[in-house]
Amino acid sequence: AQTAWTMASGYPESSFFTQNIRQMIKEIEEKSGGKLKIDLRSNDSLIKLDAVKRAVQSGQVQIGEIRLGVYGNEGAMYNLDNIPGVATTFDQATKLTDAQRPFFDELFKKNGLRAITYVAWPGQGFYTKQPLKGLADLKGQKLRIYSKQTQIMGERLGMEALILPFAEVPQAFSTGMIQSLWTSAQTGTDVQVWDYVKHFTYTGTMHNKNAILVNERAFRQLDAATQKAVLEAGEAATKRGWELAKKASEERENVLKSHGMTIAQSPKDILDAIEVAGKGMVQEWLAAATAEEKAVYENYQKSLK
Amino acid sequence: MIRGVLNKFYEACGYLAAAFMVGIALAIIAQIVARFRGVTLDATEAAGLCLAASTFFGLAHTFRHGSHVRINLIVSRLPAGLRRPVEIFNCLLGAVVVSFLAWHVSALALQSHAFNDVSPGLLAMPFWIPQTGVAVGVTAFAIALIDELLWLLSGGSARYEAPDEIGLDKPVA
Amino acid sequence: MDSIVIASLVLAGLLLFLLASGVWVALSLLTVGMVLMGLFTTAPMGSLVASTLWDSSWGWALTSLPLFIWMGEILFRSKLSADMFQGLAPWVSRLPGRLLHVNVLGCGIMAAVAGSSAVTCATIGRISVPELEARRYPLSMTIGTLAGSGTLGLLIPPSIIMIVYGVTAEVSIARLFIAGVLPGLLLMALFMGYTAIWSLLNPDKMPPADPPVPLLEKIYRSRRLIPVALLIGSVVGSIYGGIATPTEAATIGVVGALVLAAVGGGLTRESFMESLMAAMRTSCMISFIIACAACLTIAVAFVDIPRSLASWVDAMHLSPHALLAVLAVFMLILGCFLEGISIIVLTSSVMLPMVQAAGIDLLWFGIFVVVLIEAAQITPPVGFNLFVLQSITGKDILAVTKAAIPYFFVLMLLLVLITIFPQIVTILPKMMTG
Ligand code: NA
Ligand code: NA
Repeated sequence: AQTAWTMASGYPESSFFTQNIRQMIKEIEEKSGGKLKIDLRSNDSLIKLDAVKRAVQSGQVQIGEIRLGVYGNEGAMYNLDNIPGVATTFDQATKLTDAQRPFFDELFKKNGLRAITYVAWPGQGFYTKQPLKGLADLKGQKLRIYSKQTQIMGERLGMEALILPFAEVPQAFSTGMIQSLWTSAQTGTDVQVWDYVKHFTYTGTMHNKNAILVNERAFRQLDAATQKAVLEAGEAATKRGWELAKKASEERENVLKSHGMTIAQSPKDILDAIEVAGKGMVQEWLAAATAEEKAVYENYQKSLK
Repeated sequence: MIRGVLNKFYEACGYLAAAFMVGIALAIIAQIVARFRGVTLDATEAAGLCLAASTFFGLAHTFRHGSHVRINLIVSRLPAGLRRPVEIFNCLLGAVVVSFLAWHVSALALQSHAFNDVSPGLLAMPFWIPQTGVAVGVTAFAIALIDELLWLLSGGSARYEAPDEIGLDKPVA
Repeated sequence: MDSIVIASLVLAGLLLFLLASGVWVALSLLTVGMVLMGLFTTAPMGSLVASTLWDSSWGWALTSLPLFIWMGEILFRSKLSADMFQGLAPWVSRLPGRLLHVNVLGCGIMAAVAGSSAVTCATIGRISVPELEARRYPLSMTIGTLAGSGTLGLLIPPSIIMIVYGVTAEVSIARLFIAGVLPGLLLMALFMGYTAIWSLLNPDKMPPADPPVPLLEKIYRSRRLIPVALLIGSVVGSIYGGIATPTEAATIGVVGALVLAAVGGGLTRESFMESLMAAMRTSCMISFIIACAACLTIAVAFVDIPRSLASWVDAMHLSPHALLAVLAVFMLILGCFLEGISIIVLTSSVMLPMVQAAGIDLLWFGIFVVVLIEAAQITPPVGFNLFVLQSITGKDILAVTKAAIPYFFVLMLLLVLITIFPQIVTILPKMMTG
């Protein structure tokens, strides 16, 4: 019998996340011999990004892509890759994911979900009007941030951290309410950041992750061969996703350059300051974490050696 | 007796809705003041939750006040004998649809509790709390519609007609 | 494909039937959404309706709505709005259309503060309708000017719709904002021009002219404008001075209006409570319609109507101008039934590649789309400005729609003008690049 799934995701067609999903769907259809068809509704057009987890969990859609960081208030593990300095390179992000995977598998299983793919966001950096020569250049700047962790980081770097909804960013820039952004090259091009600032200083610092979740009940209803096809295509999407993320990072940096922006690697003292801020946050994270969560962090630290 | 209690209930919901509307303003004032003192306080989430509470608690009161917009162009021109069944149909449909909604919004609140869904911002509000408010507000609206349906069936005439605002509400100056 | 046609017919037919029967607008939208999802999809309807209703009811973007409406209520209940009109009247006595232009100008200023059309229309309408009514201006013109210029909220920055389009089409939001300025001013001029011409042609329907006032007297009377000018100045200034976001500016507006009303002596416990309760009801009505419209939208999205229709347009392989014409008609039809942002979100995946392939500038097209969505605010049966004005004036939606029709055609004129002279849109963003 043929099965049709509906998939919800929150990013536009041009985003590498969506391109990765498209490829995954193609592979699932081929590998399952056309037994499973997936109708992707990207760009919040069916379910808004923040609501995708619940939509998959409650069976409104069978499959969807979530941003793990959105659920930081539900469990400490969702926050680990949000802490500055925990995983600053793609390589570390891969190892962190491997360490987190068994924990997440268990957590999602309890919630009737199954993660088939993890994809990391490209690293982040500061968008500023003036070039950053050192930590002193950040002092007192009005920085738009988007989470508790980035707020703490901004404040410890001596900046005035301001939480604003994404949609208020352009207006806030043009009125001088904010002077700088801290985000990825992807988000920078999304808001066409070159209209407001001229310099992107890459710090790496963190690689948040997206995950593709499947409703476990819907998954169980597939025959064994199709289940295998889904899992394999999901695994392939994880591998491809990391490559696409790296490529997208370079591509987006080129887009920034083509609009006259200067790209620079961060000065050492800024990186050091971020690391110090991050270490403090890790200690706080560990203090609040359960034994299982702590074990994940320790396994990750071991895998780095 | 029951009628009096119900009317008080709709009114209480209305005042609660107004209080939450003031809550939006207070949350945002706190945000602006905090920013001037160099403290980061994100009130957008609190303001949003107050807005939802204000909207849903206000439904029944707004309904009884005739402020929910509808197109009574045709209805108002029908002869009385025909108008009555149409109004009964409207209230019946409204009662069924809103009761159905109340049921599913309550289910949503229970589900959010079971799923441990928490709001993503600084407030970290468990979603079942505001959603319970939504369920109460929608249920109150369903009760108001059923109340109205029974009233019409017992021979009364519709109590939800929109007042002609211009005529009744002259500026106080 | 057949099921899409049937679903579209059920949607249109059932919605029109329910609205005509006098079912409340919000409940009509909700019912049609439920029926569509129940009949044409296998999706779990009850759960989707509940979660959609919730998700669409607590967004930050909506929080300025009740506050601006409350500001309007406070002004309307104090002497401030009457004072403002008395101060303005002598200055516009020679201009054909006189105080009607206050609607256009007021909405233009409000549009620079608010990102949505309903907020713009509701705030200015609450203040001006009773004043113009008391001065015996023809209600149809009062409604028409408000319905039309309320839509400026979308075209003059800040604009929520431009942000959604900008992110979806990968067009600079700052540039879209700038691009909207000139068409916005032009649209105001066109609205005022139409209003002036109508007044010249229908002098008998206008109130009798006030006796001429000498210049010094005019200036003396203008002192009454100072409080409201201060209020407008602080709200607009707080945004453009980088002190507040547009959402926060609404709070500054409420506090400012309360302070002015208290100082002016018009604020009593009763008038405070009345303003609060009235604002709560209006905001409850609009927000509930928005939430129910979202339920209809998700039903339409699950059935996949907009994307399928857009694919049909794509299959026609039209020349750029023919494509624009067909897309305009297509979006006007969608605009009769759906709310603005959802039209963009639901059609963009098919429409934008099509437009790009035809070699049409996506920045220009953004403004083209915004103007069409402005038009959707005043087309029945689902038009937010129509609902707002019905609630403010107590007139039926048909009367409101009729009053808005000329202004709909003015919007269409603007659409033609920006198509023939795309520079109207592109010149300011080009200057920005230097
Ligand atoms: Na605006
Ligand atoms: Na419309």
